[in-house]
Amino acid sequence: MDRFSSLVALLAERAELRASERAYIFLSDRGSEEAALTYGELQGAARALAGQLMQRVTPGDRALLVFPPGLEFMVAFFGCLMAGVIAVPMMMPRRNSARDSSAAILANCEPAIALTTSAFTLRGDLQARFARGGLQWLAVDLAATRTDHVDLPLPDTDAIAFLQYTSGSTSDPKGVAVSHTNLLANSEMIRLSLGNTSRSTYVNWVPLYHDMGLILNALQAFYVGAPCVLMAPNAFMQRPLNWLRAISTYKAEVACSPNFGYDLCVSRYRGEQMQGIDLSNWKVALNGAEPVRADTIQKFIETFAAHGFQSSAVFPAYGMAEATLLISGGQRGAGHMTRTASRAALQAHRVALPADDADAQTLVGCGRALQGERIAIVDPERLRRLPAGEVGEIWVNGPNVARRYFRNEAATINGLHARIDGEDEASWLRTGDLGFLDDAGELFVTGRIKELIIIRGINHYPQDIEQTVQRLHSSLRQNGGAAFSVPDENGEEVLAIVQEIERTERTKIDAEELKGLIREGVTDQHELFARHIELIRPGTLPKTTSGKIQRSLARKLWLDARLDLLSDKGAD
Amino acid sequence: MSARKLGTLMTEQEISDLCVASLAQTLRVSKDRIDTKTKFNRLGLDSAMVVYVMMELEDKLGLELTTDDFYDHPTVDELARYLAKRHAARPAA
Repeated sequence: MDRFSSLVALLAERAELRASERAYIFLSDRGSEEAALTYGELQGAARALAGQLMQRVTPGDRALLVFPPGLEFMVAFFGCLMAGVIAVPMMMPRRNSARDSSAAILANCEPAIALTTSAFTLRGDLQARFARGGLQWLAVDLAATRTDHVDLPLPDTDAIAFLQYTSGSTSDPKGVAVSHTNLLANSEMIRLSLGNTSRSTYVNWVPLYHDMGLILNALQAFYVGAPCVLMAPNAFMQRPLNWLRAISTYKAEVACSPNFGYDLCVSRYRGEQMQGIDLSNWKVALNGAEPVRADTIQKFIETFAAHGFQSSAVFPAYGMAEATLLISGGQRGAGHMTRTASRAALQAHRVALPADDADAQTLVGCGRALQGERIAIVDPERLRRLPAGEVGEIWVNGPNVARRYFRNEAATINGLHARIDGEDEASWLRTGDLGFLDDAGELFVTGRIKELIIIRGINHYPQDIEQTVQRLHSSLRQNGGAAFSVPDENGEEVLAIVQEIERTERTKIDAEELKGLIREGVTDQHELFARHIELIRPGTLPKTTSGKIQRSLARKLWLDARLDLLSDKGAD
Repeated sequence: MSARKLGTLMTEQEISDLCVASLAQTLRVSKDRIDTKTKFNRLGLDSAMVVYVMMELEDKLGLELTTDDFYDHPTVDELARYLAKRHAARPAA
């Protein structure tokens, strides 16, 4: 594709050559078109916003983007790019959520302004929630209301385009500083891997504050010049088959979802609701943002083949915000590949043939390194590169890898500027995920070193959940809890929490009441169901000698039912 | 959808039982663990789970619901009372 210095330059060209073509369409919950933006309208509205921004803030300042589902987000995003203001996409806080879960992010990025829709600027609780000194609110409209001419210099390619926070509400927030160069590099890599053209219409339900929704969907469609049809995440959750209907209606070539979205389509399948839906134009059904499961893919193919879905469209992929988004992917039309390995050996970080059927685990290949990028498998302790077929930490080097986290030097050095022992000075991203490469370079993700909890494609830091729990009641010991994920009956990850009770309180507490309090607090503040909660005796949570919580050991004790439960000996 | 579900009016108690069964299945706990006076968030129902339960109730009751209905009527007792009213008032199928 032609080289542009930034997406701003690309938008200017689109607005000139293809002004009346539609860039974005937003569907109502019933599936009808609620709003649309042509390239010309997008450019006009974004320019008007950029002019307003330049009167209020300085280039390099941060702007929070807090939007309900709709197209205003795209105007705000491009408006920020044009004004040189660093956009910070945020999740819209839930209506009844008790606490400001974004405080640490705000403290880290110190936003000068917050953007939302006209309707939401009136929502008092939103302003109260993000209340901090000097934060002004600005309403973003789809129509360009002002036409004052403002000079907008094109952005410097090494400048930060936006910050993508990788969760982390109370603990050490990590805002990936994505530069214009990163954004263009990954957009081009995605284009090549997915085989996209201006005919590659997208239908997307993944939220735009999520990197998959923004980079892989909304910006990739824009990059290749194809329309992007957006629907509200909740509309998908309520009626997932409407996603498939929109794919059929718009003859979309590309539609992406975390694994759970494909499961949801299968479990909500109703023959009568599929009438008239033809999925034969769907060429890339990308599955990423959480572990890709072979049985999900199989069930999806079996259920929807009768409606034209082709197994060759299955497109497992791997990525994360630190690499702008995509790290590995297959080839359009190639389908997916699987490999059977020993479950027990994988748990010991080795690849071996299964001993028997019970030991067999089917792994799904997540494609290969993208154009211009390298993937290495590295021993996470000795920092030595491992050969093909051995499990180690997945490291990535390429123009799509961000150079830094915003104002977090320690995380930047450890996570983004790692060096492989005995090799040249190349700087690598440490993903914190475990996997191996086969002889052909296909990447298989097998687990995780980092203690991140990924549920329904959303990342949660255990520290945040633990802190929420410990703030709920005085009997819940500070620094005495561990949150981690465990597989449920279907192999999906669910949240488990173990928490120590203060010594002085352990005969007085009502365990069921406390568990209810924890469930409620975690639901309200993290949108997560704490499936398993165990209260344990003080001093029994595994910690290192320096007092650091050993979550993976706690998880192992939980799985082996070897925790020192309060209820076992609570009456002493 | 069977004729019985659309043709017969469900009582508030039947709707309450239906809510309990759906919640128990979604949360994967036994039905006797679902107290009808306990708030949904105390039970641990997150917003994705609200949607699952809502879909099942829509199916069985022939009603269109929104997730706000669950926030406005946050216990089984309150929700069942509200749904029973709407269910009785819905146009005949």
